[in-house]
Amino acid sequence: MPLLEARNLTAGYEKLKIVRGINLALNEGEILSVLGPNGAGKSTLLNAIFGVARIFEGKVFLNGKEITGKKPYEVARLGIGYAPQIQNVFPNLTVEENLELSAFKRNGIDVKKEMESIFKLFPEIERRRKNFAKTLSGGERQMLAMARALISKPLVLLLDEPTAGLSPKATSVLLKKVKEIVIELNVSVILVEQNVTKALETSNRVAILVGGEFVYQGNSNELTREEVEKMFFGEKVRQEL
Amino acid sequence: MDVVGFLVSWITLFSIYSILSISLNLEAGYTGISNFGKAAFYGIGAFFAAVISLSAFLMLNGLSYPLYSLETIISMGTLSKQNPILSILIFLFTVVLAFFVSGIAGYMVSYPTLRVGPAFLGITVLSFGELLRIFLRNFQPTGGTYGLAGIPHPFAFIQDPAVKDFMFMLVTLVILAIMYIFSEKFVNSPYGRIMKSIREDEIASLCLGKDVPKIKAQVLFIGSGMAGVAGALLAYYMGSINPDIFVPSLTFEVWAMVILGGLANNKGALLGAGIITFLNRASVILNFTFQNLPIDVNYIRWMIVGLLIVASLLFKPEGLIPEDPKSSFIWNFVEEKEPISLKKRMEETSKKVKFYIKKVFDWFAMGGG
Amino acid sequence: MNLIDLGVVINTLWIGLIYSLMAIPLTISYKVTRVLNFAHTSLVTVGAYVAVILSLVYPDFFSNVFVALIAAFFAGAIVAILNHKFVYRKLMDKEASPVILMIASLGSWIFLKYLIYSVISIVSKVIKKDLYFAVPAFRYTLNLNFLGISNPSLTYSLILGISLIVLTFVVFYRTSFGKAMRAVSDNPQLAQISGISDESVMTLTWFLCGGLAAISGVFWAMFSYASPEFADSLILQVFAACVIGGISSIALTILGGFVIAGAENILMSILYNLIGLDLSFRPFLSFLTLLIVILVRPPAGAAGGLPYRLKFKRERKWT
Ligand SMILES: Nc1ncnc2c1ncn2[C@@H]1O[C@H](COP(=O)(O)OP(=O)(O)OP(=O)(O)O)[C@@H](O)[C@H]1O
Ligand SMILES: [Mg+2]
Repeated sequence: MPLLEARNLTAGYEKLKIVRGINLALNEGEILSVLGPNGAGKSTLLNAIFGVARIFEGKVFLNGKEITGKKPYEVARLGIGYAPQIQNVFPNLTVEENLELSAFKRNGIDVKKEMESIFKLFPEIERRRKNFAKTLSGGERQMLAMARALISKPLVLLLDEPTAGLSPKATSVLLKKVKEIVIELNVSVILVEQNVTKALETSNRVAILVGGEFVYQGNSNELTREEVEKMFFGEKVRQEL
Repeated sequence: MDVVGFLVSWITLFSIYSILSISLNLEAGYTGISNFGKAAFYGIGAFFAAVISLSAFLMLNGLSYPLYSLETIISMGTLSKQNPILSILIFLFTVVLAFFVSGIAGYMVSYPTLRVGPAFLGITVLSFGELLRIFLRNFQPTGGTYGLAGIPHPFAFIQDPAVKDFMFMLVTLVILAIMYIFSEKFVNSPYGRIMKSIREDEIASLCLGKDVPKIKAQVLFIGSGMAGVAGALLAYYMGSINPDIFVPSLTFEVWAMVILGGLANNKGALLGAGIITFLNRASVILNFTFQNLPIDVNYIRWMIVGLLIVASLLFKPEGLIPEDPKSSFIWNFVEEKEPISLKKRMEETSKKVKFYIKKVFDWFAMGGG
Repeated sequence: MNLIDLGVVINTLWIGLIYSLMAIPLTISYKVTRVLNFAHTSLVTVGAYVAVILSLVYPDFFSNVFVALIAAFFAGAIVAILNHKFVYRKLMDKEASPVILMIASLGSWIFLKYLIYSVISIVSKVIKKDLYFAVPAFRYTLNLNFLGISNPSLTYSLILGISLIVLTFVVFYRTSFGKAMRAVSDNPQLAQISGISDESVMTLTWFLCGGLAAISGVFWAMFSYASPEFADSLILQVFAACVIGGISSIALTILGGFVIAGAENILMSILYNLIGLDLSFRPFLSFLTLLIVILVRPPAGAAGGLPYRLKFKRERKWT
């Protein structure tokens, strides 16, 4: 049974249907990258899983239990961590408070201990632990956002462009870290990423979203960057789906 | 019960309040300015008219009583009847001037605050009203808490009070008509479209090169001026005014009218004013009829006003008469459709009425179940 | 010439404290819920009258200041929560803009205000005592002497008020609930994503803010008197204090309370003694302070509007 599953999901905002007929399954210990051009609806898909966007049709399951229509905070408490694309930290809270807050109201989590282990993973933000998040740099914010999503020990981690604004070097480091996390903390990841090559390197499987619909799902080692980018422009590269 | 008297007093009050609600509609409905200080500009107009007309009469007759004194009130009783033309001239003069005085006050108060958000504007203008009220309560030359009395009625020379009130009602109706036509023309002019564009998206209008604070200040000038005229009319109608008439609740009464009737629609503003002033008059009569109620009927009326604001925001945010989409900002870019002819409209209406009548008959035919 | 005397200074301190206490819940509730709550003054009145009526009707129990304060706290909190559940929450579910919420709060204000009037007039008739100008009948058991002030209502409210402000800071900056409040105020959506129910945070915020507002009303009634209009007549000062704090900073709001109290009392007293300024100009001083703050330091923060600033025209030099 897949850990996270979306069946025939159609979602959007207000009256607007943005992603349509999405079928998606995430297995345990897997990294699934969702690739697609700007405005394809990648963030909307993650929002829909989390109950932020409106779901018109279809269902979402976590561990076999239905989570469709649950409030975002309930979904979070059931074990999904989410680092959104924009506004992903609380600017007027310190780094520590940002982390503490995410572990708030979660049973069986020793906040102090978790925080230390998170800081081991992200030494860059440990140095800034007493600073307000609004004073962090873009890259540090991305790390804090990821740390924030991880601290509550989620089963599934949704990362929306965690490498936006990072240097190529830092991108590689961060994506390597994602791979580490999957093994160490035993989470499964859905990764939205603009850098196709690195996404293909990092992930086990890949799903390509164009114009609100999946045009391809498969193992990442079967694809090349060129093929993916052709798909972005609507060319049918392979027929299998 | 004196039905005619009731109607006359209701229509007079309705006209005065309609001027207020139309002016608030210009500001809040069309331009999106949250003016919570309507009472202040209304009060400025009222006190201005009272002070000027009282001093004019005293001066012209060479009297030097203080404005608020028993002598003034007594002498006004006779002086105002002596010269009808003078009375009416002073009346017209003060009403017109009240427009400018209140308008300038509105312009000046708004100017510094328009550059901050709607919340701050609301607070500042509301505070300004409270400031004036508290100041006037303590300011002895205008009578402190007692206010001013004996304001010479323009038609004081007419003996029969019913005719006098009727004449005054006609005058207020005429002034209302002028204001109504003016604001209809105004909001449908290019300037009106700029106002709506500010309401829809302030930043976009700013980027289009419109001087948003200046336009808002100009709208506030006009809106406050209209409120000033309403205030002057009120002063003459009541004959005596005091600072405590102009409490913030009054502002909200006007807001209730506009929200209930429908923002950005002058007909809605009239309808709202009609409903709320009817409540106002009715509560006066109820209070008079049932003297021994445990609570003042006015309290209940105010509670209803509060409830109406909340309820219409919750259940009918577009108001009883919604904004005409054709006159709305966005629609101006859409091709003009052929206007529905009157005949067709009447046909549609009669079809609807027949449908409902049939429904009622069916209901009876089913045995009321 | 003696421009100010000690009495004026003590008065300023006390009034500044009360203004701050009244302004803090307004700031907090705006920060967290994005509602500029004009019904706030009604909450203050509710608190004052609950203390007054209870201490008159059940003197055995409620003549104790602390008991009465707790009762007032709960009364204010309940009214605030009901107001939230029936008005603001419903509007928020329809995604109303902050301006609509603000207008709705005007409706609540006017409704609550005349509800209070009605209740007072009924209770006045029942207990056969005029409540339109009333003072709570407290018995002060401890005789606190403080800076040479021995008026117990003054010393009690000073000490309790300062402790309440300290407590507010502790709750807001040290407890996890305070952190959740700040998180919701920063970004309600992200707060939800992090597992915080914004509805329960908002309800608790109204609980605290309503209670605090009610308590500030009791303090005012203790030293001055309660009337159905007293809180409304302080609206200028309280909102001015909030504006000085940009409706976002608690510390600056407190400063604002004292600045306004200083302008009204110390500055007034100086101007009166110097140039014989009439006392009726007192409210002008607070308003002037408000305008100066808005002009010199246009609040950008939470409630700020567009980034307009006063333009100082510079001459262009073509060379
Ligand atoms: N809150 C919203 N309300 C209405 N429409 C929205 C909203 N957010 C996004 N959209 C629309 O949904 C579409 C998909 O947006 P989405 O953010 O999901 O794209 P994306 O694939 O994440 O793009 P990017 O790579 O730029 O992040 C866009 O056309 C956008 O205009
Ligand atoms: Mg995106």
